[in-house]
Amino acid sequence: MVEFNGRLIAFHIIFWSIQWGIFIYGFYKQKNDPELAVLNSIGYSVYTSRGAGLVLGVDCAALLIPVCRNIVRFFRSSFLNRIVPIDENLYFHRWLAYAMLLFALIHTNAHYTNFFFVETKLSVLGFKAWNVHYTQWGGATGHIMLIIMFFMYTSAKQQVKHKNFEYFWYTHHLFVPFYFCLFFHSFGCFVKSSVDGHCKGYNSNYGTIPVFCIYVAERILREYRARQPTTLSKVLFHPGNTIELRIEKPSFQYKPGQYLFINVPSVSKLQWHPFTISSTPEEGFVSIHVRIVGDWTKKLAETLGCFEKGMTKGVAVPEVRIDGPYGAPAEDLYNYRVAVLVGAGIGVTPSASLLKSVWYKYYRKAQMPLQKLYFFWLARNKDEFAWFQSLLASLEETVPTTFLEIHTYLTGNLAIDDIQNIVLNNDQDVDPLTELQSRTHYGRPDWKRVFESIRAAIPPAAGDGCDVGVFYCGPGALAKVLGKFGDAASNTRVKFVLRKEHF
Amino acid sequence: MAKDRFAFKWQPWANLQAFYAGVFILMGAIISYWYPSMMFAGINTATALIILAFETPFPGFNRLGFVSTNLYLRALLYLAFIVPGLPQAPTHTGVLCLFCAAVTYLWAAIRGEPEPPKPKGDRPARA
Repeated sequence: MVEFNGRLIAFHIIFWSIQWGIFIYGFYKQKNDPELAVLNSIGYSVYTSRGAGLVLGVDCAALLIPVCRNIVRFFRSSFLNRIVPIDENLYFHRWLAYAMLLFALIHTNAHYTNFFFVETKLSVLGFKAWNVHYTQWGGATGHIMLIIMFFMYTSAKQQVKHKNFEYFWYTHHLFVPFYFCLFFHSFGCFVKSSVDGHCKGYNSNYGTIPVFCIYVAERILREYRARQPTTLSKVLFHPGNTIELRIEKPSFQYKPGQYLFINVPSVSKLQWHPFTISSTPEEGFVSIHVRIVGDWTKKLAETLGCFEKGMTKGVAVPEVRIDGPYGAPAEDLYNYRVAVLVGAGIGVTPSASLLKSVWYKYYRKAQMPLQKLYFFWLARNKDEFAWFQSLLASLEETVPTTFLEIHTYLTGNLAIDDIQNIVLNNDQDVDPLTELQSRTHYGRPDWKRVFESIRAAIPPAAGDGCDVGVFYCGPGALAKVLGKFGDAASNTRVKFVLRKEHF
Repeated sequence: MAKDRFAFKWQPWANLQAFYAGVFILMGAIISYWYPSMMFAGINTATALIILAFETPFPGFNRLGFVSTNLYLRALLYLAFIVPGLPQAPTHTGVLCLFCAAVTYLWAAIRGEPEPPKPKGDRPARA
């Protein structure tokens, strides 16, 4: 889910031009090749299949690069990030996959046509269609690759991935046999030069094999880093079905707003799940807030003894491994003069890390370009406010509202008891729900008014072209809303830049 | 089993598998119009369109009562649809994928998963 803008259109125009450009190149390369005149006598289906095949070879090589997280992290801090949005690497990976699907279907159906004609028009070669389909290297490996693609694609859709990450993760590792089939796809040398008999494949292995090796090296690096000494030092069970894990790992250096991958072998040996880091380096540990939503998180909670009633004694501390840190847009918060942090539900974790960092910076009186920070926390039920209540309370005490404004919103329905409690306690100094000085709003924010008042609060003397960073983490629907209202409120003087995070 | 809120439901995956199997069969059926016996092309086009109508879901196809909600029936129907795709090569990949989809639907049916009400648009199931 990426916002609809000029950059996106430019990406698609360039992307598809390259795809079809390679197709056309492969098409004519085959057509104009005198050494393959025998096969070319079949007609257009041969050129089509070869053109599509060439695109596939290129795409398969490019496909692995966006998922080499360490390479992506390296490029994130380079000039390249200003030209292409490196954070959208998974978007690129998915669109390469869609292009591969399209060209795989073109390639396969063109080849089915080819095999039919090989049997009928080129009967002198003595091949039956089913023979080429299933017994030639090309046909056999091709069909295996198609079936693998079928499983990989269907399990990668959100409907399956979010419900059971395990099926997606294990199925997606079918890419290993997929790539091996790809390496051996032209092994049978079906397409031969009629002059000297040498194989005329696409030489795609020169691209796909090195990239595959790079990816393997990346995975080895991740494993090595993950096995550095790590201890789970504390587990806190918060209301709202959320666990906080505090981990100590001396070799782990991070910045506020980054995220990590965690693996708990006793819950699942092979699964790695991404979570935003909710602590700051000054605290001396790494903490993550995990909301219990699916099977892995539920089993994690059980392993940590969260569902035991009363005091838990003798719960064995499980081994944990973390990999990272990996960059996320929230890292860039301090570069903006004015910034808005929006956290919805468990998406408040990067905001928590950044706010803690703000607290420490204020404590140290550190210099930073950031002059005004707005924090919006949208929670569906009141239990969620408990996660960071103490953090916000101490922020309110130490940091003046000229710098930090805290706005909490309760967007879900309230039970009658809660409403009565609120009404009874509403005349106290602090808000009855959050015990903060700033009052909780009920219902969803009026983003139009919010953005317009933020814009109005920026003094004209702040210079032209003040960019306001809007950092959001949470469900995708709200990202669209923020993008829409942010763009609507932007003018020549103030521009709202949406930086959003999603996994 | 399926009562557990966190339990994995096979039906959405079966739905996706069947949808893409339908797409593959349709493409193969179109190619096979150029093959000798046009009858198979016609039959496979029809089966593919029926599969797509069930899985999209095309408006109206989720309101056929027992026919559209019973997963056993759907699995059996798809197993039957495999047969006309077997004689000609272009539809082979599609029917192999359809077989996987039928097996997944059967597994979902055995586990007692109900066919969930189809929401408007393609909203993914909330975790």
